[in-house]
Formats: sequence, C-alpha cells, structure tokens
Amino acid sequence: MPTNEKYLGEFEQLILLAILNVNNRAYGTEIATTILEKGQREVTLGALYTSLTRLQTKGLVASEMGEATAERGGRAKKYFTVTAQGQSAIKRSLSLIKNMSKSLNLNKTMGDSIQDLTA
Amino acid sequence: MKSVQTKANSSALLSISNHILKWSLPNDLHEPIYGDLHEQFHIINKQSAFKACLWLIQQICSVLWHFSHSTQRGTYMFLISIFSIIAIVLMTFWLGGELSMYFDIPSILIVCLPAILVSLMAVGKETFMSSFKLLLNTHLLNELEETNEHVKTFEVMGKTAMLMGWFGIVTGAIAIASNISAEMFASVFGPAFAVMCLTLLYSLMMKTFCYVAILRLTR
Repeated sequence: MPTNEKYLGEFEQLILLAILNVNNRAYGTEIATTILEKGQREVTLGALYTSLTRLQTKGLVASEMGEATAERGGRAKKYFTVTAQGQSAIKRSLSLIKNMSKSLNLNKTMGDSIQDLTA
Repeated sequence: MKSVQTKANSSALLSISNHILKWSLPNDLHEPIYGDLHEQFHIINKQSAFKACLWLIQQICSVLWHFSHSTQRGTYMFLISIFSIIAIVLMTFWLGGELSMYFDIPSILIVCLPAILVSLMAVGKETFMSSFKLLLNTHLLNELEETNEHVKTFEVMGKTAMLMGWFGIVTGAIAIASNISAEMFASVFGPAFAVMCLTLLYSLMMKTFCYVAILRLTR
C-alpha cells in the first residue's frame, strides 16, 4: 500500500458507505437520512457538506446537479457518487479495521460482516 | 387563522435562513443546501412546527459554524479589528477617569454629520449604502472588479471627519480665548479645553474606522 495515501476519518467512511447504500447516487438529505437510519447518528447539513467538499477535493466523490423540485423551493439537488478511488479508499479502511480487529477475539459475527463488505 | 400565521412564520424563517446561507456558504453550495433544508423543514413541519423551527435553527448554526469562517474570513477579521479598537479606546477612557467626560453630543454631531453628508454627496446614496454592505460580505466584495468608488466613500468620510475635528478645536480655542476672563481662567480653562479636544478625538476615531474599512476594501 502506498505510504502517501491518506486514510479516511470515521465520518468520511460513514458518508461514503451511505452513498454506496443508496445505489451510489445520493443527495444531501438522502445521505443524512441513511446515516440516521442505519448508523443511528444525527448529522447536520453543515458537517455533512463540509466532509463532502473535502472528499470531492480528494477525488473520492464526484458531484453533479440534479433536478429542481417544488418541495425544495425550486432548488436543484446535488447528487454525489463515490468514485473508483473512493471505493478503494473505503475498502482499504474496512480492511484495516478487519485486520486490526481480527486478533482481538471480538464477536465472530462482526468479523464476518466486515469480511463481507471488503469482499 | 392559526395555520395561516404558522405558514407565514415558516416562510419568514425560511427567508431569513436563505439570507444567512447566501452569506455564509460558497456560491456552489447555496442551492443544494438550501434545497435540502427546505425539503426537510416541510417534512418535519407537518409533524410539529416548533420542532421544525428548532431543527432549522440547529442546521443554520451548523452551516454558520462549518462554513462562515472560511467564506467570510475577511468580514470576521474586519469586525474583530473594529471591536478591538473600540475595546482599547474604551479601556483608555476608563483608565483616564469617568467615561462621561469623553462623551459630548454636540462634538459628535460636529464631526459625524458633515463627514457622512459630504461622503453621500461625493459618491451618491447607492454607492454609500453598498460600501457598508461590502464591509460585511466577502461574496459581494469578490464579485466586484474594482472598488475605487467604494474606497472613495471612506476616504472622503475620513478626511472630512479630520477637517471637522480640527475645525472644532480651532472654534473651541477662539471661543475660550474670547470669553474667558482672568478671574475664572483657572477654574474654567481645563473643562473648556477638554471639550474642545473632544472633536479631534471623535474625528480620529472616525478616521481610524475609515482607514480599516479602506484596507478591507482594497485587500
């Protein structure tokens, strides 16, 4: 593994996984709702978009403007997708967690779940 | 009736949020974030208007916290400079004695009114008003190609304030010299001289503000 590649922070991992959970195309509200439902974690839009901007600068996500709707006051959505670089970054992070937890004799079920994700 | 009022309050709150978001967000993020807020707000509003308002305030505070320090860094530095100067000036007033001896309404009027009116005359009402808006909004400042007219606003204001300050001193000196008598010189000269110098003090304060404002606009 190249030593100059940076690892993802916890919140960045959550965001990438949330986007991947929504068929790899999600906008802000969808990402926040997914993290709340699956991660039981409330996320403010300020924190979310700061991290999304940072991920986009790193090249781990890409964005495109979507359609405007009346429910959004006529404002367009900004859809985010995880790039190939982003997908290898998240795989690398999950693999790291799996390797670190393997030797700890934690719940075997958790170890298997991580293995499924990194497969 | 109540639902109409609630709807009006919600619209007002969303409108205020829109202005805050425009001020604190980068241009490319304003539309998607405001759209997300709008969408979620109306979903939560169907359950509880109070919760929706609380949620919206929380989101706005979060956006301000995460973005405004980078998009409006110049504005924050300008405000910190101004408040620091004011704090130091007030501290020197306090160390010098009673605060009341540094305040004189006629002296303030002698300095500030002409400075504002001459500046208004020199640049026009629109440029005058927009010059102050530019100080508090980095987005507007970045959109302008040149700020010469707005710099002129504060240059004229500062110079006029200084002129009026010296005018006040000279006028005060003439008044003291003409009216004071030998018997009451010792008791009257001090306070009269102090009031005479207040116009220069206010003119210096106004000039300092204009100097900082010019630096902000020419950054």
